[in-house]
Amino acid sequence: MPDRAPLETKIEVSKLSVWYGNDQALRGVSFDVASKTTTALIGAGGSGKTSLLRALNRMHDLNPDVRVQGSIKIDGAEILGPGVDTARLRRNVGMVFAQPTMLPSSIGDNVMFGLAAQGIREEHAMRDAAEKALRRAGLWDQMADRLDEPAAGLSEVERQHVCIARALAVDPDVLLFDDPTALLDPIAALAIEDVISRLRRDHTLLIATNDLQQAARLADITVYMANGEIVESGDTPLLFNKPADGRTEAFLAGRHP
Amino acid sequence: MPAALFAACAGVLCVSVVAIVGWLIATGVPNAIRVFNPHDPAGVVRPLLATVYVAVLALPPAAIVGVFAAIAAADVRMFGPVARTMRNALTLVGSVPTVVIAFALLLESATFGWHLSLTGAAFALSVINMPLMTALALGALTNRAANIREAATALGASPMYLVIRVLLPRAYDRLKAALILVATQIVGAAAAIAILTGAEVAHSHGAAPIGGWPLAVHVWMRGSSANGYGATAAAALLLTVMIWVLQGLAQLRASTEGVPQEGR
Repeated sequence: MPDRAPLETKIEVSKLSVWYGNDQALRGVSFDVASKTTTALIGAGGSGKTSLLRALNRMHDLNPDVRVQGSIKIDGAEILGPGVDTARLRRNVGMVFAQPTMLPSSIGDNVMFGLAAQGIREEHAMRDAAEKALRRAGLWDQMADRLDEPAAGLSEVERQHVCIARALAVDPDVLLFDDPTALLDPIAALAIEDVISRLRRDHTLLIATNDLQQAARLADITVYMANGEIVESGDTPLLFNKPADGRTEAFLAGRHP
Repeated sequence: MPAALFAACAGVLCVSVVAIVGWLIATGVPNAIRVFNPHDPAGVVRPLLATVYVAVLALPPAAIVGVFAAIAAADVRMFGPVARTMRNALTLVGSVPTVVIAFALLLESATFGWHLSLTGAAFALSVINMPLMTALALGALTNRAANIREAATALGASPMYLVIRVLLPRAYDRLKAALILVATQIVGAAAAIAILTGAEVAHSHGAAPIGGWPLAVHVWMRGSSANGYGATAAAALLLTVMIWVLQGLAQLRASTEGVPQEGR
């Protein structure tokens, strides 16, 4: 990864290891993410992409069998230690999952959920934030008159748009995308990619993806992972065209590394 | 061949139940008018009142403690390892035979000089059914909730906010069904009440404030007497119908949940 000025560094990951019971999913991973860049995590299934993403907003806390060790600093502040306000952390580091799960309520309530969870009760402010988020997610024109409808009626791609909108509604600095187009058809996937592309200048984005072309289209930096380790990372065009490591080259060529 | 075996087993089960209920109908229906006479010692009016009395006393504490314990056990983040221990403890408590709990309470009553009573029996039934209520409520809260829990948490919801604002409203119909199922357990219980009202010692109505035991105990007591099988069969039939109605209501509540709002 090229050197960057310290002030630009948004996320510093150092010697991060993750265990699911006795199985180690991440093995002492270290890397930095510069502010307002897009980083793609690529690698075969089980390489540790999702484990890494979930460590960044402490989603592993949901599973008592998971153990996380190492250091993650966001804006210089350690997030893995005790006493961290995880609810606040997750509002600052939003996450969009592969499965676009709707909360059992209306479209509007889904988009405003994060604000309500913060304790914001002023309806006008919440509606404004929802409108702004839906516009940024490219959904306002379709959803403006449907905010009170149950979110269950939405199509898969609309759901993923709503998931992005509700993550945006709480105005996060960092957005994590865990294979956000995995369940979508190619056209719907491109629509989601288009939204992600428009978010790049305002947020620090990390995308775990199995779609190499998507990584090439979206990411400034690409990180190739295998067996819970970072094999290689660098500027996306460079990594795709001139990988330094033979394992990266093999993976990109579709061969077993 | 296995399919035929399964069908045969199902057939044996159905035939057995139909035979028992058929016998109850044949024997009990001719005595139906008699058992609704409040002055008849074999009558079911007082037992019905006693059944309602026990259910009204036993159900709310079981429901409150059960749901609250389920909330605690549903999210390990709230109480950390305590929640996991609680789940195991509830499983352990739930597996103790009801008659053993009743007997233990009986010994306590004797030790502390408490009077045997229907109210005490209702308390015992409440305690006995708390693990069942907890297990059912836990199932209602956590049913297909992993993705929802993850989505809400990723949006900054605290564990308590998640439970109160998302999981509880979503589980409302299932919780009502759970409550009805626990009510069927309370209505159908006999052994614990019999022990804790002293019914096995004194064949009288002295232990019950309403002047009778609940229907299940009534059937038990009357069934052990040498005569009056017809009236007892009518009471047993009534108890069976009550349980079936409650079970039906529970199933109805569970099925009205329909397609979950979060959809596919």
